[in-house]
Amino acid sequence: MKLIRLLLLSSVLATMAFSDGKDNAGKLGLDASSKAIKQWEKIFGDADKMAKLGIDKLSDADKEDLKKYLTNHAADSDHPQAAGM
Amino acid sequence: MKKIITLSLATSMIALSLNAADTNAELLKRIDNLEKKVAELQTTQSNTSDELEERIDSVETKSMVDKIAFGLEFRTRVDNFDMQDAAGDKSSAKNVWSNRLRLNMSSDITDDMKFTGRLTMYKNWADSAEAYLYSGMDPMQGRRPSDSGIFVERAYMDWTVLKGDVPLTLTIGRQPSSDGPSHQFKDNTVRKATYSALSFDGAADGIVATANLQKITGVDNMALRVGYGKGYQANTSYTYIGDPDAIADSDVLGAFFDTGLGIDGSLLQVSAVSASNIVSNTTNAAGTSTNTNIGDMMLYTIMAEFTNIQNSGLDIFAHYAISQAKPNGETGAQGMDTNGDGIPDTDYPLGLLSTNTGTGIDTDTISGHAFWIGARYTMPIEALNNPRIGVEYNKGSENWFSFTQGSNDLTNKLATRGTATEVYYIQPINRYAHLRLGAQMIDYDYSGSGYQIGAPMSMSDAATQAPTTLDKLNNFYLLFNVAY
Repeated sequence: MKLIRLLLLSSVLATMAFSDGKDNAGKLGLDASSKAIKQWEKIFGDADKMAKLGIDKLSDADKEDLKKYLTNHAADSDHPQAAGM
Repeated sequence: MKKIITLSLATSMIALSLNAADTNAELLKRIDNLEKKVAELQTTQSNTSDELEERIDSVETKSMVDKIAFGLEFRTRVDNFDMQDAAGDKSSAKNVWSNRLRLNMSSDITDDMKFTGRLTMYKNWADSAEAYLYSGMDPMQGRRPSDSGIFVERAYMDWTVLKGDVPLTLTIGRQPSSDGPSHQFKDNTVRKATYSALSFDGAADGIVATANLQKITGVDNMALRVGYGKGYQANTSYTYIGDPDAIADSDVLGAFFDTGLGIDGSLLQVSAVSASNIVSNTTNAAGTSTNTNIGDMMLYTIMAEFTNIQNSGLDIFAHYAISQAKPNGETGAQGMDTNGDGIPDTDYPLGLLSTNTGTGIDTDTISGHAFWIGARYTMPIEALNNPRIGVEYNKGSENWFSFTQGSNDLTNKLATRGTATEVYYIQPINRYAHLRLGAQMIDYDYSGSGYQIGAPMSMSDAATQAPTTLDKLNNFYLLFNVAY
């Protein structure tokens, strides 16, 4: 039982520790698949566009993580494939 | 004096009124001009809006008419094989070049129905015919070098027939069943198929029902799948009248449970697959088909993988599987070359992982097992586009058998009854292209890896009874891959 609890706790902590750009995308209401990679890159290269989406308020590190997440999950990114996905 | 003042005031007033008249006229003129300009602007804006709407319409029309989105994958590789047989004789096939083109297709037909497909050409340089043993067989089409023709490697519809908390999706057609987990690490991509590649790798037709449990449990990637397919279907030229001599179809049934482990990029999969009436796919020395049903097979698999653990750049995976063959006592006569002239001259009665040596075929269950482990590390060297290094190791027992005939690489290393080690270095060129340099070392302990027929033979026995049996195989390769 203790082992299961420990595993669950580790799992939750790990989830918190690994919450990179996905969380910020959720908070800002940004849907990665709504734009292509180059469109996201354009947004991150334009201060006005970033301000419009609220990205400008993030730290540089968070911005970089968010950019990575959005481009990795963009409409034209490499998508996972499996039956029913 | 008073008259003078009055006169002066009157003069001033007349002068002012004359000036005011001038100013009003000027103002009216300016207002007129402004009104004209506003009208012009309104007309221009209206024209621009119409033009923009027309342009957006044309883009929307184009988007709607482009019903299938295409993606490109292209690979050129060079392999250098070194082999040693059971008798200790060495040979090699070096500087073997090949090209592979994949056109990936997708189409969102409706909210609950989408199409995915893959057209593949895979050929050795300068070859214009089937270049690899059995490359025309169904699981290998598009998976082994052939001619420059295009094979349909994948073509399936995902149809969500039930929505709600547990959506149920039917995947109908030629399945996403090749290059499955955890080949994506070596291939420098993301998950590309449903099943653990230790047990199943290759093209396959079937129907899979997926109950998506993510919404109801809140756990990423949690799904329960049940699949049905055919490993062999009797020749369709007799479909309408029936063939009295036809052997039974080989049916495949499987159940798969996937779940994330609370970490992005993690996957645990547990599965059980049953294949009944497996066929021998044999041909005797005279060249006549002796194909027959030789028994049933069960495969149990468990796997786990973790991608980019704690943002460290480290990916790891481990797979373990058990195969259980149940021969039915039948054999197919397979013609083999015993005098080394390359022409089959002697028939051997081969059953499921068994050989009739004159006393018949034992129908007891034959068990085998295998494991596959590996790791990949992404180096934090921005100047080199974060290159990656990886290592993989797998080991299979004497009677290990897997459905990996259409495997990720030519050597079908995961079917090895022995050990296989692979190391590789991935050099990204840009977001879409990379180079991979790798070495694969396979040491077979038993014969017949990847084949369902014949009793596996140890290398020491093979040295005297079948000296040309492959004992060791090394491959050093370099490939250039673009996926866009």
